[in-house]
Amino acid sequence: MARSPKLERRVLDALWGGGEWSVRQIREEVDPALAYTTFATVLDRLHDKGEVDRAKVDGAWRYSASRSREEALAAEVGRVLQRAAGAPEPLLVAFLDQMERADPEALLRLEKLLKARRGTP
Amino acid sequence: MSVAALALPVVVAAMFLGTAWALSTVVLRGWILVGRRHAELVRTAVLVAALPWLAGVAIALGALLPGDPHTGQVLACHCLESMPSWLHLCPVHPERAVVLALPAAAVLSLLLPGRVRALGRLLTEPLGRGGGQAPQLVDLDAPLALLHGWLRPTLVVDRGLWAVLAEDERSAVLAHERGHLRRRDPQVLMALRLLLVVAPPALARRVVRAWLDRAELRADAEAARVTGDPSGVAAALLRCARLGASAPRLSMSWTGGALERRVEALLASEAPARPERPDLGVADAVVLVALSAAGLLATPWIHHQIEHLLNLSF
Repeated sequence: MARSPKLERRVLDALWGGGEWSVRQIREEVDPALAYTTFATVLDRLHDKGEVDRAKVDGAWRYSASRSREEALAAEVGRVLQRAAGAPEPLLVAFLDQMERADPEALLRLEKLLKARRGTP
Repeated sequence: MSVAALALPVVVAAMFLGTAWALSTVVLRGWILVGRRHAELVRTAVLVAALPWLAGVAIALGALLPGDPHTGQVLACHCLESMPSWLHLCPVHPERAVVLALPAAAVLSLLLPGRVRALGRLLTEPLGRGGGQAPQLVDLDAPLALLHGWLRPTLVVDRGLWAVLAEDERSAVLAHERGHLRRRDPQVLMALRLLLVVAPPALARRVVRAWLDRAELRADAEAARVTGDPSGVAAALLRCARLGASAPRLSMSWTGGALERRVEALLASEAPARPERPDLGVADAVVLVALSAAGLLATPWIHHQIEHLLNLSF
């Protein structure tokens, strides 16, 4: 299962911890039971996707995360939001649907209602 | 494999899709109409969306599996009893279905491409990264709090939104999203959308919208219960609406006053005493299993009726 997204995520989890890693180190950290070539392939794919940077040190590739965990999550959510903006139906369970907006008059009316309920001026 | 041998699978696939599509059109339309008067009916969305699938599978199995309607035996081959002229659906003699292949292919060419595209879109949706109930603060282009992913949802909150919300508003937002998590709303939403793949898209959208509107009301009620302050939840909603209205990258549209309904519902009621149950429960599973069993047991009868209908038509 060299191309398993789950394995990619586990590799990224390790890289997000910081530092530069060789394939061997990643294998030892993530799952020593899997083949060295499995991790080499996964890291290659992650590099192609722009998720990891790599540099040759003493003839061997050393890998590091190209962005932080938070940045990667923000980019992933951003892609979904872009897709949702063009979709005819809600794609997300959000506190307030990003496609939803009350017109200004309704918003004012609701705010007055809220103030009346709370007894604030 | 000969062309004749392909005829039966094509016919069976067309029967499944045609039945599911036609039944979706009728059932979902009726469900939407009745749901306008009886809001509590919305909780049955997944069950209702499953009905066209069950009917489609029953018809497809009925077409594929020969049976004896008199003895009720499934897989009781009646090839020997069939007259040569009798249009006979049977995996042993798939070439008999050749005459039906053309109309079946026409049905599939009309319905299948859209369904495959819709399914493809759903299957590429992110699964999520988990993370439990702790919010992950990230920089988004919009002031949003949402559950990202459907299988292992991650509670994501825009860092900018988090910074401007007051403590009680943060509590309301988190309690709302955790209410969704507790009732497994992202998974139910995905199940609903997968089931609705066989339905006409316009109807599917209306069903999803109705279900989601109710899910939001329930999450609001859960937030009101957890915080003990329904008006606080309403205040957080209005705050987010105000912030969202000024977010430049958001392309917004009027969606029928869902925000008003949510705020008015919160202000009109006290905080509920008990949490609500998920939309999918043991009772729904029992109903689905019972309907599936009934469909399976009816396959000899369905097979017989399909052959009668086809022989009347061809």
